[in-house]
Amino acid sequence: MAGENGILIVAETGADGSLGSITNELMSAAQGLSADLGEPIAAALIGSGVGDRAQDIIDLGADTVYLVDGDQFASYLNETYTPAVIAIAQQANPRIILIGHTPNGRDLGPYLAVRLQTGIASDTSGLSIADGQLQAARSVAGGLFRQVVSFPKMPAIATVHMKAYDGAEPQSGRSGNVVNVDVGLDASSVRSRFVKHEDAQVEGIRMEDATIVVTGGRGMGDEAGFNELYKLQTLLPQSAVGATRAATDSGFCDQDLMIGITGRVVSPDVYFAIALSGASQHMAGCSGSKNIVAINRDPEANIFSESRFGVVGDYKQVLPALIEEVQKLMQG
Amino acid sequence: MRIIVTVKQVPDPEAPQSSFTADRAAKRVAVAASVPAAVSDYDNYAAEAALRIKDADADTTVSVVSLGESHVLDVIKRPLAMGADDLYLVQDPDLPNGDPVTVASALAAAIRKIGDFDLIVSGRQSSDLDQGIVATALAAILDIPVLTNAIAVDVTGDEVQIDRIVDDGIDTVAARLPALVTVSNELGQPRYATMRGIMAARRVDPTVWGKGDLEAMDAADPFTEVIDLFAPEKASNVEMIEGESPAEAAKALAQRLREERLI
Repeated sequence: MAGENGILIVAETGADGSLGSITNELMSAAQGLSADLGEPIAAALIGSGVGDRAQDIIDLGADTVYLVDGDQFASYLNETYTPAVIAIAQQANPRIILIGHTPNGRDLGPYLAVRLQTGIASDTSGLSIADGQLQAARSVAGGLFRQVVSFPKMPAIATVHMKAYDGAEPQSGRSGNVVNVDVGLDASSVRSRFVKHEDAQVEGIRMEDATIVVTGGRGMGDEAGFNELYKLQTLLPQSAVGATRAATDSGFCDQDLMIGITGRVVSPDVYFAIALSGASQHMAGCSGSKNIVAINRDPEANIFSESRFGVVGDYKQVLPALIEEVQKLMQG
Repeated sequence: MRIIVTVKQVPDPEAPQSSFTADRAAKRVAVAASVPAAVSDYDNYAAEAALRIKDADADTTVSVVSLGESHVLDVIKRPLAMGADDLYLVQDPDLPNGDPVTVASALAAAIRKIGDFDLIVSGRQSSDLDQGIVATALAAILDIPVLTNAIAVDVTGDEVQIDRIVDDGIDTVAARLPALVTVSNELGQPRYATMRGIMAARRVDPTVWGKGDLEAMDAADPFTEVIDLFAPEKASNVEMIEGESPAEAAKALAQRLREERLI
């Protein structure tokens, strides 16, 4: 196809039908590219009964929302969402397609790229325009290096690292177009099926929404040591406990607490990094934190070079005193 | 049934960070000769998922296919030592760091040459490039359904069913065979190689294919190009909090955080 124009973002909705925060982040990334190119932003909105979200996406900055709404799209399935995005891409004819590097976005992107016979870069965290085309920067070797990727073919597809961009703020009452798209999906061509969804059991607030995250690593030693983190966390409002992969693989806590390149991605105001070395694979999940506070007995630990505040010492001595003082300050 | 496991050989990611440098001219990561090779971490979980299916159905063949350069047989045979049956090596020095869709097309050509299969199992992403593209693109090229990020894999009849982690919980999805599944580490620890397995693996002669043996391996017209690779500069501005004792330092830290209105 020729005449490619503009940026298409693929919006995501949660099980409850609300827009996922990645949608705001993609919109923010698209706005920068749109300003450089002088081209519009379109959004793909796919689901069942999600039509009401179209105005929300326009409020976030979309000029056009392409809506695929139907029972077949009630839950994400690669074999139904890929043709939906293709049908939208055929109408929108974008220069660039941005997808969240979320579990579903990671699933969708490569399949879509092959179907559209074009290139894809994944988990990108720096998007720019050079000579009118997308360039995408991404981390490799767990963040030791940065790679810059260019795209000889259009549309260029990039999945975007969660929290790499601050979410766009909605401006209520913006105007834009909503275009209904008929995918014409032949149900007999679908070889996979959605069986069920189970909500995660979340105690307290979601880690991604916490303003303070208290994270422990391999150096916590064992489950009992790890549980000391909760004594600090319960003193702090809007906080959650996280772990490195070394800690979860050692069985100190639930796998679900893992932060890192293959776990959760958080960007709280304060990130307590306790008895963890700061391996690049872990930092990929927390480097967006505004203030990292490190406690480690190894003064050479990499985590100190990534931190705003650091204390060298064994957590077994530092943490109890920290808890005691925080308790006093919170009461005072 | 026939299961194919895709395995990538990578430089051991646990090697000291100083062994990895940016070769800016070649636009790739240069690895010191002292760094041993390893099976990419998630691919061990892929082998484990395949072998669990074989545990339940002895009439299962697990074939391993690896695409790359300079394969170290003792390393790449690890899935065989765990219990897989045979090994196919595709050797092309240009491909492993190339465009992931091009890599996937080469793997697809190799798998077509291997023959009929019921299931392909891959790791969710490699531990060197962390792209997570090749396996899903491979499924698209072979035109089979893909289920990604599995933490549990079950085959019943002509269907594979997985549990996968999504943002707000766990989805269960299923696909008709033949299909491709990618596996995450929450699946549970891969089994150790047994002595018997190691001996059996030694006796396996891999089938080796080069560039000329496969169709669709021309990487001359890639879909993406790496135009730069560099080590980002890190400016450290850490404020170290000291004290007479660790407890005193902790107290000072709490007060400093309060001054900054961070707690």
